[in-house]
Formats: sequence, structure tokens, C-alpha cells
Amino acid sequence: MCKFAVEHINLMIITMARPIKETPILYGEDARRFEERMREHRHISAEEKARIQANYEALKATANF
Amino acid sequence: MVDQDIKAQYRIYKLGDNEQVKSFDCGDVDLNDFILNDAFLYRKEKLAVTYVYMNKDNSDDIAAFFCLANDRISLADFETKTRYNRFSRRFANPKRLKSYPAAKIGRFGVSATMKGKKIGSILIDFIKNFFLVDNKTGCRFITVDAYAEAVPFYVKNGFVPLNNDDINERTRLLYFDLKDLETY
Repeated sequence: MCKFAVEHINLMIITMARPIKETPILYGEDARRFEERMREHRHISAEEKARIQANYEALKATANF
Repeated sequence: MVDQDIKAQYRIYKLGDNEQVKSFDCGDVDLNDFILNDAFLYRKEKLAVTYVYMNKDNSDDIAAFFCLANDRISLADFETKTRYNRFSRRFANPKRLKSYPAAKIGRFGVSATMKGKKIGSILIDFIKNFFLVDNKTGCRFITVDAYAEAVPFYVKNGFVPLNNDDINERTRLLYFDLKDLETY
């Protein structure tokens, strides 16, 4: 078993809260739907993009990293 | 308190190896337990990093937190998991798997006293652009292991359920495609 898996299992044993779920591999129709959506792209308005950018800049300016 | 007041009063702070949040209540026992007791263990084992949105003048005043980890979305060239497992047992290095780099929001909580002030959406905006602009290694998707009751919040912020396998579970996996934010 790889080191990461061992550490993750150990962490699951010692932690109390629900462990963070692993992202599953997609098969069949789920995989096809995912790839189709990757090609399509969702339309995001200029206003929403501007808001995202503004929120990012405001928060990054005072971040400690 | 409006957006601008919150942004002026609070800052994002990345928790260090030996730093632990002493007090936080978002109204959910499991999420509280994570930030108070588990977050530093994930950090210590280098599995995830936790960020808090805290008052600039009072580090005990935490408005929200989120925890980030490396992730990937993998697609198998098989109809079912059983067929994939059968194939990978036969071949030592199966190539019929595509993976896309992602960053996962493992846990995300807003303090009960700060709910309804759009802090959640402001922080989601930050996370999206953080991986779009400050990306050092390549990251196509933001994934999230969302509590079932928080799914509408993520959908409103452009996230899509990965599949329907976890529709009746306590948490659901959703994703956001960062390419959607690019201008074409």
C-alpha cells in the first residue's frame, strides 16, 4: 500500500469529523457527459467575471500568502 | 454589514503547521469538529491546507474557513467500474484512464453569526480566481465535497454534480470548470 494511502487511513482513524470524500473515477455515461460539458463551456456574463475578479483582488491584497 | 465593510474588516489567513482554531460555530457539529480538531491533522500530514477568513484586529473572530487539497477528475474508457477493475488486474499499467488536475474544497463553513452576508460567495469567487490566476502547476477544475444542504449554494455558484451516485448521501461531489471563466 502506498505511503499516502497509509497516512490517509491513519488520519481517518484518528479524526472525528467525517473524512473528506475521495473523487471517484467516472465511467460510461457519466464520463461521456462530463467530456461533453468540458467542450461546451457555460456562459458566464462579463458582470459575473468582473465580480469574481474584484472579490479575488480585494481578498488577495490582505492575505498572508 | 455590507460587502465592503466585511472586506475592510476581515482578511484571508493561511493556517500554519502549529496553528489551530480555538473557537468557531457554523451551526453544524461535524464542520465545527473539522475546523476545531481535524484541520491541523490534515495540514500536519500535508494532505490539505486550511484558510480562515478572520477579523484583522481579533484573530479569534473567524467569519469562515475553507480547506483545500490537491485532486483530480479521472475518466475511464470503460462502461462500469467492474470492467475497469477486471482490465487493470490483467494489465500492470493500464493506459485507458484520463485524468484532469483539480483542487478540492474539502470543507467550507461560514460562522452562524455571519450567514446571509454573502461571505460564502465572496470566498468561492476568491478560490476560483486563486487557481485561475495564481496557478503554479495546472488546475482545470475546482471540486467540492459538499454537505447535501449546501448543494444549492454551490449550484448557484456554477458548480455541477459529478454524477448521481451520491444523490442520497450526506455529502455530494460537485465541480466547477475554470475554463468557463476564460473569455473566448
